Amino acid sequence: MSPKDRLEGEFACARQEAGAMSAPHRTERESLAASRLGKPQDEHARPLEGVRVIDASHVFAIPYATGLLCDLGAEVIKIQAHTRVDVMAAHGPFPENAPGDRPWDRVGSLNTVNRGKRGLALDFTKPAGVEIFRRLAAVSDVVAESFTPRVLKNLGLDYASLRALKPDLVMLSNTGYGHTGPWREWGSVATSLEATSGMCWLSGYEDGAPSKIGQSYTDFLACWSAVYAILASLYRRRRSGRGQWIDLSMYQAGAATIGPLIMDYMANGRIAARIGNRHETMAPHGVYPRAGEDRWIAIAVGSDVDWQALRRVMGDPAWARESCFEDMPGRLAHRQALDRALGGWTAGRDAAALAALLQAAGVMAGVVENGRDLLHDEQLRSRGFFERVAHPPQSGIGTRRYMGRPWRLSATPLSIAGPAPRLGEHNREILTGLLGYSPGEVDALEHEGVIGCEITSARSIQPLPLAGMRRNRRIGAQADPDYRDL
Amino acid sequence: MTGDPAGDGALAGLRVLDLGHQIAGPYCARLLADQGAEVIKVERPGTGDVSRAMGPYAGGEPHPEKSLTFLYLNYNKRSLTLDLKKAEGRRILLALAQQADVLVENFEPRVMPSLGLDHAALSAANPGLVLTSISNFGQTGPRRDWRGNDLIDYALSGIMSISGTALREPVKHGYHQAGYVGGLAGVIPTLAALLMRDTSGRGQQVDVAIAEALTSTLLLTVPYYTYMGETQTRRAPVGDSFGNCARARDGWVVAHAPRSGEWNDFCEVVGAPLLADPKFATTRGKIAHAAELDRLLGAALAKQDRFALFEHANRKKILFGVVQTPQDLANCPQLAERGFFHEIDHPVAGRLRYPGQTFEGSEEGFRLSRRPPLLGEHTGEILRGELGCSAAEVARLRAAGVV
Repeated sequence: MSPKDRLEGEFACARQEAGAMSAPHRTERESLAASRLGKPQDEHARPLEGVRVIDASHVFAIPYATGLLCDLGAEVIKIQAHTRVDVMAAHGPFPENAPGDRPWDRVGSLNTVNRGKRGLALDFTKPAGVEIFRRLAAVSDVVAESFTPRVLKNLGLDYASLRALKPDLVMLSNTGYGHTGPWREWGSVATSLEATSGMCWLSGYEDGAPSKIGQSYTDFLACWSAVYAILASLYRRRRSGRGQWIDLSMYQAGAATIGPLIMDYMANGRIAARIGNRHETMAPHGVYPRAGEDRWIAIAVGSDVDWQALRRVMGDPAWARESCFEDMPGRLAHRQALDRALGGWTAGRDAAALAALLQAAGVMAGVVENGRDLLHDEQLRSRGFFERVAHPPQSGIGTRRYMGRPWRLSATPLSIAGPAPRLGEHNREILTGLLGYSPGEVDALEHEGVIGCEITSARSIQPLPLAGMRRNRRIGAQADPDYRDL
Repeated sequence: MTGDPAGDGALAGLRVLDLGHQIAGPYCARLLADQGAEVIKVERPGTGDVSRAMGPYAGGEPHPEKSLTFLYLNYNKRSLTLDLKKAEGRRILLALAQQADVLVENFEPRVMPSLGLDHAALSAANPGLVLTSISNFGQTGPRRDWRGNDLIDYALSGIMSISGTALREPVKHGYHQAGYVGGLAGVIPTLAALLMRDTSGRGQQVDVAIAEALTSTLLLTVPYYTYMGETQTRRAPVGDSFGNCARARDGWVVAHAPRSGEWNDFCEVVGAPLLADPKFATTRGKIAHAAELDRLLGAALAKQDRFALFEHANRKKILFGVVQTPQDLANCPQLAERGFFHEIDHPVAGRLRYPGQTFEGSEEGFRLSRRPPLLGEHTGEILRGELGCSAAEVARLRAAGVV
């Protein structure tokens, strides 16, 4: 028996055990074989049925990517450390702002990205932990990780090592700057990468400083790039039988979204600047105040036809008939006066009604929605963007709404597979069921701290200082009382 | 220009029709092309993709073959012109769809049905076809037919409500991020539908909403509400020392609050000995002495060269960012070493450097197979090769303005 055959044999055994242990579950090969034999398909089958993914990552980018793989039907095992807490945990938010006894299980952002996974809490700086990681990789299809390049190599868990155990493994490594080049060992978080990748330079007010953007924005570009790379590699693996290693750079994922502006410098020597909400060829184009505290409407007039429509909606006031506003070059040249006058008209009006009125007339418009608005939004509601997920009673989290996916498949209904696992929730089940450890061996691993289900150093995580945040206007004047009833 | 030394790409053999325009659709199709898919870009006769009329341009002067936006989003593709409003144009499109695996479009949702090219019609022509429809708000719901662009997507997505400062109006992210987000997010369900087709044998419609993709990035704003009922807002400009853009001598940098135990190293790196006071070392202390900290750190950073600071901090393993401009990116040694830029000759735009891949694959990754196409450059080739039209037939279609 060749080493490869032996691995395949072990692979099949492990899969059978997994099948006996968990919900009915077809391996990818079995699914494909069934389809080729013309067996009827489960109409609720999902694209990644039978694909097992190891998620050894933290913060947002790769956890979110593997969360999406889970939505697509993959079985995802989340490897977390019980020796230190994810850096995002202290940022909450916690249910009712109560971190509780197990704050690491109660973090809203992390529970969003880790939905549907099984949880293994492992110290893989210990040799026995490394061994568990290796055995897991040997029975998995995808490993996704986000350590700095030297970490897994030093542990013997890099692609070259894992590929020896699982020849068709797809492995994705996500780092700030990539595994090669002079910056490869440099640390990064999204806030530094927004800056290096050029997005901060282009964002912010036209007359102000460059600005950080969003909530770890480059994490999401890396997240989607990772899913794209993994799915393309799985598509190829089905046809060629070959896996591969993917070296993803968050820096490049960011820079790719401003490609034409980098080319503008390389071709023309021009350095693009911040222009805020302004548009180079459209006016009006911006946000305008409306009735209420911090309420705004965005309006974009893309053509003279749109301008005529806007004038009609406004009842064609005298200022709007001025010749300087008649065509696009005139409106662009007199943009500031135009914005002031239009803002005078929108102020005091109800924005939702106004946006609907403008859209009915063919003018691009939309309310600047805040977090509360999103959870009450009829469009998102009708498309089922938010999904209810029930957490187990002992978590004390109850049923919460989470963001699903920004896309629908017409013939493949998808949904979040379940809540995020509690730390170490599936330690025993994975080790005995999937990897063949005996209950006694698991006890010993627990005793030695190789696996665990608590982070003793993280017990001191505090509630968010909401009163101070309200003073500093990080959050609105008051909380909504009925946020759980929708 | 050289091709990738690897094979034919992870998606070799996949055939894609790109009916996209502007950014989201073309970017989605190009990401498929970058991995080896054969992409035919279907353009309107005469003017082509509207991005051909979007600046900036190579050389500065508007020209449909010199739009940097078009060039960047459409390399690795062939171009066919086709008038979809003519019955014969529609017939040719359906014939091409019969041979395709994926059709990508980002029209407003009413457009494809109005051309007789809705999912039912395309699926009748080819049940295995994956139809990827990218739109601002999705193919369903009360906002389906609303008009939108980058600004409107950002407004409705929720992102603008937390972007900018509390004292001023909300502001969107710079440049046309929404389109890139839509294209990138659109590749995922497209590939998922192709994997599904392996088992089901059938294609389906993929409905991608750009505004929802933007909303998906609000990993704090949404659970702030669903976990606590709190609504996040734009921040007041206080306590800005860390995690924000700060002035250096010759530009801007981003300092991060150092990890515990690194405070003195941090003070040394930024050249601020007065900061190396234990009262600033703890999180509590940083908040209690925020104004003094802002002042001392700001003064220290303002004396330093941004790249020297960036390198020094990173060599000391202290997290640090530098605000790079497009010029900095063009000259970046890391991007050069990673082979991010590709030189491509183009008969009209000339020899230019193009940004490329976001990841490397050990066996199959990004590959550059074609320069950006001239408008309709491959019309004859595709009609003859893919559809078996005779030269006379091609001439007739040209004369009739179908192609």
